[in-house]
Amino acid sequence: MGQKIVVNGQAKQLPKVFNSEEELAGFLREVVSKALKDPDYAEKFSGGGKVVLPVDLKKLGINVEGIDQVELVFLKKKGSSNMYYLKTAYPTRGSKVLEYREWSKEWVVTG
Amino acid sequence: MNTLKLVGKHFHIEADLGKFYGGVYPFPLVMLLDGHVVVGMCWKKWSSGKLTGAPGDPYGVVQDLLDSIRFFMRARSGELVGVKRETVREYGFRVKEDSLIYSATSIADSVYIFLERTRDIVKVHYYNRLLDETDCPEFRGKQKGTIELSLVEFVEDVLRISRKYLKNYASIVEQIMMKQREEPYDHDVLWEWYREIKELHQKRI
Repeated sequence: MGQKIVVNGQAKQLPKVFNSEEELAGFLREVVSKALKDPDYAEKFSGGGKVVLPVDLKKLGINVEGIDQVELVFLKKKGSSNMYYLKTAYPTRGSKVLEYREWSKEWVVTG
Repeated sequence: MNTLKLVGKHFHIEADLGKFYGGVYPFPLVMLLDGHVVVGMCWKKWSSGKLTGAPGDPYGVVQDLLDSIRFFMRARSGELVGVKRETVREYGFRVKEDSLIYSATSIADSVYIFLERTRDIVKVHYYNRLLDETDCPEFRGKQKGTIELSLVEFVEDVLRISRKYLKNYASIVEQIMMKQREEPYDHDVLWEWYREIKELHQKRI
């Protein structure tokens, strides 16, 4: 959403992709619901404790300028055999996706 | 010592349980497969030119390797787990049209690992993005590769390292997660899968 963040004492302006929290939440809802309906992705929920799902947005028919891939992370509910909740989600590839490299202290565009 | 070490005939895995990054991939981890650096990184300054752990998860290693075998044993021709066949090809790997592919995503950050089964062979396709820009000469150009194992050797190695993990390290990992106030991992399910695969494997041999 175009925030300015501070990493290692340096301010960094992030690119803007979403205009509001509602827009971002709507986007995540769409990604999760489409990914879960796709058998190739849904197969990953096989009862293990942690499900990490990198999802190609284009393959799900979702077009957001600047983001190509989003990683969804689910954890299994305690005591259940196959109930999961979404723990976190973050973009991993795209022309508006930046990564900070601790070892080189550089920002890299991932798209 | 807080070093986790899981050594099989082909797999060599080390993790530093003394460091905790938190998040999805909580521990620094190195995974070698027949000498290929599937997980790990190297920087002249940052790691003094030596191979060092990248954010990874030993639980995820055992979970995904065991789960891939369960999938290989029950799947029908052409089935996929966690990835599209076109995506694997877009990363530059040659995969057959009707093979089984399991995407092992819980192992480490910034690494793509695709396990492909065709008949009695398991191919491990990996793309270690953290080696893309390494400045250590010995690891340059080694970010991508494919390692071929027989299905039997793959299964035996996975059973070997899983047993070691579950017996020697699962409780330590559980303690660390508790201390860090993270959600505990379900190790019971891994024991279940381990026994299930071991039994099936013994019947087949």
